[in-house]
Amino acid sequence: MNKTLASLAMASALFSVTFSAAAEVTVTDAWVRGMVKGQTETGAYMTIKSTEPTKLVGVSSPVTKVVQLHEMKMDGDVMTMRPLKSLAVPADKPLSFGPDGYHIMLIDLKKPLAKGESVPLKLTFRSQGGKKSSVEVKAEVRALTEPSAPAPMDHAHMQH
Amino acid sequence: MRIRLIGAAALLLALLAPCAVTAEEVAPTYFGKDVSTAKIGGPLHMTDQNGRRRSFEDFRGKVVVIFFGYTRCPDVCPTTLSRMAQVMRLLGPDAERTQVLWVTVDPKRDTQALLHNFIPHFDARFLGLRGTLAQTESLAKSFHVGYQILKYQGTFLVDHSPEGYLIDPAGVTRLKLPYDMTAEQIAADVRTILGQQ
Repeated sequence: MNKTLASLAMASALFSVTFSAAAEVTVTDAWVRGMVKGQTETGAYMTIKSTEPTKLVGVSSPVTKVVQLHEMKMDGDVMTMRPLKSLAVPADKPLSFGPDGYHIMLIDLKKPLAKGESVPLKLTFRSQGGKKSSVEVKAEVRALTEPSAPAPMDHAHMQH
Repeated sequence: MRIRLIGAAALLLALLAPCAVTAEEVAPTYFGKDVSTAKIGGPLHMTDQNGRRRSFEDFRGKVVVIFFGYTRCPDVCPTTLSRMAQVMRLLGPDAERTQVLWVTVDPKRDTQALLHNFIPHFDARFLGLRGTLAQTESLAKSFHVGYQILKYQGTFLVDHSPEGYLIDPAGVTRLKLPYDMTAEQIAADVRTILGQQ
């Protein structure tokens, strides 16, 4: 009996060790920009945090078949948008989507998403060891006019 | 020796200081980049979201703030338009002498009906403008605004310059407004230009 308990305790200790070594990915503050009639695409934003380095390798949603991960970059004066196959998420460093970097595009929507609706998103990650896991979130649809990030405050520059 | 040098430097500064102050008063300061002498901006021949033909001459006597964008733009364009709505609120009564123009670089997909739904969400006074492909190209070029549209797996990737331009009430393009300017900074520049008239 004692032996059984001891081995059970050992097994659970082993289990918790294994568990803490696996990447734990949390997704917070997921939201989608509201749309007006006639629009067929919109952006989704969130903050991803992982306890281990991992990679976002896929996003899907029941609202549309076409979901893409995009990166925005300044090329001189021109802001460019390019699709990404995957996105590296570093360990313990929250990765926030927004106007200076990444966003998810929901494309070819059959009807515009209105403020107050909720959009299910399934994010698939692949760990460094090649193990796949997924996180499901419900993204809140906010106003079309919602700023993607706080207005920049620390770039004051006077020019003559 | 060292003390004397410092003394001489202080005297020199004291002599120069009044000149510096005078220069400051003469040359206005802006948060945006002064492009007054660069002759930026060509003629405008486009249609607004209500179907009315528009040219820059319609807005003489007002400050015009012009941007280029497209409605499927997920971040930059809504953020720019929201910021300009905030500028209008900050301007108070001066907003009546300010016109925000937003030109689509994607007139193929941004129809007049779509602009009619989209633009007033930010501010009912804003005008969304749409031209032919050739008109769009020549207006963007005249403002040194670059853009290109690439087809990609069921969608179109649009690259474009997010900065705006401020045109004074006489029709001269005066300032380039970089994307990272705050609403407060843009409002201050609009007021400075309106104050010069």
